[in-house]
Amino acid sequence: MKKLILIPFIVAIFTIQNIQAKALPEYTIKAAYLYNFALLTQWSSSNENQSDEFNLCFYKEDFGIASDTLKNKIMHEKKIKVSNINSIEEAQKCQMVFIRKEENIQELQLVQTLSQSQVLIVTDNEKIENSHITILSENTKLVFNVNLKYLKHTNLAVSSHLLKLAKKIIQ
Amino acid sequence: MNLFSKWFGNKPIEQKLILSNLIVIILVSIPVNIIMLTYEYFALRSHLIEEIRIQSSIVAESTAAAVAFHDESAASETLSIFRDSPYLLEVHLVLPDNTILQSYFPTKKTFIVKEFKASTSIEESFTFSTMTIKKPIYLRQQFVGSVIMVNSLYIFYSRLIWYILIVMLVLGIGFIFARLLATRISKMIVKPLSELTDLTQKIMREKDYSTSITINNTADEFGSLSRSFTEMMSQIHSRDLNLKHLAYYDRVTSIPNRHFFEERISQSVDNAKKHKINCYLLMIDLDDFKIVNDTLGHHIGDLLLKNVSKKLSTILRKDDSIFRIGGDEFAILIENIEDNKCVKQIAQKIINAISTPVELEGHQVKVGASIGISSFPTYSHDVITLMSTADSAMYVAKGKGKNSFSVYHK
Repeated sequence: MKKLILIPFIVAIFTIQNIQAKALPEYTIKAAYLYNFALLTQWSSSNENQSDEFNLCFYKEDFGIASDTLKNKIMHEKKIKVSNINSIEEAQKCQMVFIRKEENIQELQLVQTLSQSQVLIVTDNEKIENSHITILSENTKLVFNVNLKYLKHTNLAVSSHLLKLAKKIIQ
Repeated sequence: MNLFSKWFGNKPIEQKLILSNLIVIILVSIPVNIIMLTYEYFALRSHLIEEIRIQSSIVAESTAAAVAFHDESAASETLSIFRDSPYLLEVHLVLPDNTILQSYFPTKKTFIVKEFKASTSIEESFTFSTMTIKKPIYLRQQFVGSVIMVNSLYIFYSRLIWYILIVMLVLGIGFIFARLLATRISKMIVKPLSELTDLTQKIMREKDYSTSITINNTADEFGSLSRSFTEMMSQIHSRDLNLKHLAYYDRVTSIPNRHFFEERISQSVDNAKKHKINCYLLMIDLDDFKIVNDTLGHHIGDLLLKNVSKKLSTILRKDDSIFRIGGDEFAILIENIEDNKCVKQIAQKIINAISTPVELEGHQVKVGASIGISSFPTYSHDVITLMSTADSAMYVAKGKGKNSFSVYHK
């Protein structure tokens, strides 16, 4: 994963120039990926209308400064609100949840509960089978799989651009 | 201009018509083709530029996600779609930090672009042979980078050259057809004039105004000229006939005169030589004609001469020729007759006819005739001797007394 340091320019994806401190490149890249996943996913209006903000949640995970790059950016005409959450109830209020790589019973339960809701589940743990998008490390690059099998049960519409770039599409 | 006018003025009408037609065609076609070429230049150029703009939009749109995810292989894969683009030289995907995500060269690696700077504005620049277009890449309204494309304008020049070649070919073919058509039309226009020119030259050469001409009966100026020319020819011919009649015929008796006699006797002698036959000449002198003229006047004298010529015409054959060669002198040329005997019989008939009194305007008029006869080649060897021997014979006859004839003998 440390080889990802070789991709320093990723930071430039974001127009926010006022990053105060250096973020770990892996988190920065993942934050950029999360932003793009959100950009290329369409939520049904009923779900989006629930809040004036776009809730991007990190379940038991803290991206630190990297997550700050996402704050106050506009996503689907709403301001992004980055939250660190610890419970399934909190997760249900999010549009997008990132679940950390480490796995235990809570994460699995969370995924089980949210997999058919309007929450886009992104993880970097390939063992969590019923997440919607899985970020993987391949050589020096990050790639991702899209799980259409579970996305079908939601009202989430993933752009063909995203499917085209996916390493693997699970159906 | 004067030189041209002089040169042009000396050309035949047919060539003038052809040249004027071709000059008009050239003068019209040059500005038309310049306008068409200018229009085609701008139309082709704007069409190609529009194509390039559309292609750059397609590149920006199709690579947006790959650029957003910095996916080089996906970007490369997308760009390779444009490998068959006829004008794409190189394309670069530039990230917002001005680093190159991916470059693609459909043919050879050229790197015409020297500066790689992402921008949210569309920039276009031209050289003689290339067009460079920089276009921002947006993913869902989010600026993710720029695409810089360098395109060759070779295809534009190639299309333009083909257009010029085709136009020139069409012009060339059109010019040949125009030349053929102009020649044909000119010939058609000039033909009656040429015919008339040839005819006038022939008439001038042969001095024969009786030549019949085919009237060009069209309603145009040539038809009018042809009709006027025919009328003029007819008048000249009529005048000539009149002059000839005045020159060759006696005004009083309307029979051939001395002038005609001199020409005719030469022909008769030649004819006799050629066919080895005899030609007889009878010279007639009226007796007492002077008395009639002096006592009854010239009017009666003229009437008497007319009467005599009428009597002679009645007596002689159709092929025999009668001439009035002096005041009261007549000459007769007889050809194709067997012998002297027949001639003597004719002479006697003439004497009898002329000596018969005639009433002219209430006056009994009586004259006689003395006839001298000679022949070629029996008594003469040419025209002069024929005439002189006949004349001598006539004086011999006169010496004999009135109303007698004498045949010349050596």
